[in-house]
Amino acid sequence: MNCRKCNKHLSAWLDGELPRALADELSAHLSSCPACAERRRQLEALNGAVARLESPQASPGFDAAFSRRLLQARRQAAEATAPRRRWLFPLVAAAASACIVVAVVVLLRGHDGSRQSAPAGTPGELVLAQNLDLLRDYGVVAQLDALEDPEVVMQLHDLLPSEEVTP
Amino acid sequence: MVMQQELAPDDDARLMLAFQQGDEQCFDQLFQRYKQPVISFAHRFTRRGDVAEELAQEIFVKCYMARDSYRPAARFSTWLFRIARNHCLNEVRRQDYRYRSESIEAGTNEPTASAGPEEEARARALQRDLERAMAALPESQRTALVLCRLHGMSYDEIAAAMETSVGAVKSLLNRARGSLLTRLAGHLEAHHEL
Repeated sequence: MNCRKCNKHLSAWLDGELPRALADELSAHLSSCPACAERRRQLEALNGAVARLESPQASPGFDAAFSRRLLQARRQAAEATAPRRRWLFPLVAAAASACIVVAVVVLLRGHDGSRQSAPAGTPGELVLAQNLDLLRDYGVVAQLDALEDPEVVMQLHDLLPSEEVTP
Repeated sequence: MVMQQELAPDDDARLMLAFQQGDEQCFDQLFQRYKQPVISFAHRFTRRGDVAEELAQEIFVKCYMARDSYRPAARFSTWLFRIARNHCLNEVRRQDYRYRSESIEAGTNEPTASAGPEEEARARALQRDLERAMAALPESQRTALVLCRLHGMSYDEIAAAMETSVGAVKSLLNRARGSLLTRLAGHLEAHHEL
């Protein structure tokens, strides 16, 4: 190894980041080259000085200030998402209303008064039946007079698997 | 200051994963472990204690809000210092004029080495000149050196935190040390010991 190569790798050697073979080669050069040995000494001294650089300690109010800042950030994040929900609500309600209208029309047209047949329904009807509570929460179901017809409500409940029917 | 080396590397990851599952106390533990290293890191960017604290708080807020982006494949400290570096860079660039002018002022306000034993005066002079020499380094060189010597990170970890290669880290550190040796040559020649 020559001095140029030693100079290139000396910093990584001091950090213990050289492969073993290269590190051994560099060690051998250092033991025989006073100039590179002096540079090594200077670099070691520099590393020590950098490690002794002073840093400010956290002030007594640091934790409390962070808690306030975090609370503020969480509030802002919550507020940022809230308008989106309000904007989404009419769309969800409109889409749900459309589904219900279609489903109720289908149910009324197919309703012949005989509920002895096995429960069956289209996927859309099934989704509607499974989400009755959600639709009530959104105030959609209550707006539909057709669902006040006990026959229709019973038929919707019949579409659900038995374990999902709420008492 | 070497960062919490007595902790098992995966201990932080375990805490972070628990925090991702909703355990807020785990985040508090991480905050307590790393607040001082993050303040110290931010201080290297600004050289002002009060601004460093503000930046550190903002960095932890970012970590909190971005918790879902953490993956246990990386060490928590690597992830944390990547966020810290990017945040400090953005803030310092955004308010460059402010940090620059106040940093110079802060440097001139440091205590002078006019009194006390010779060794103490020499050490204080070295500290002052080293601070200035560090501040004059390009940001990437300074960050690599700080992560390596002040936070005890390996080249692999530094590369991950700085989103670069191990070879680039090696080069950055070599150049940083070369520049510092040149700038501090007076100390070396005069006292032969840093």
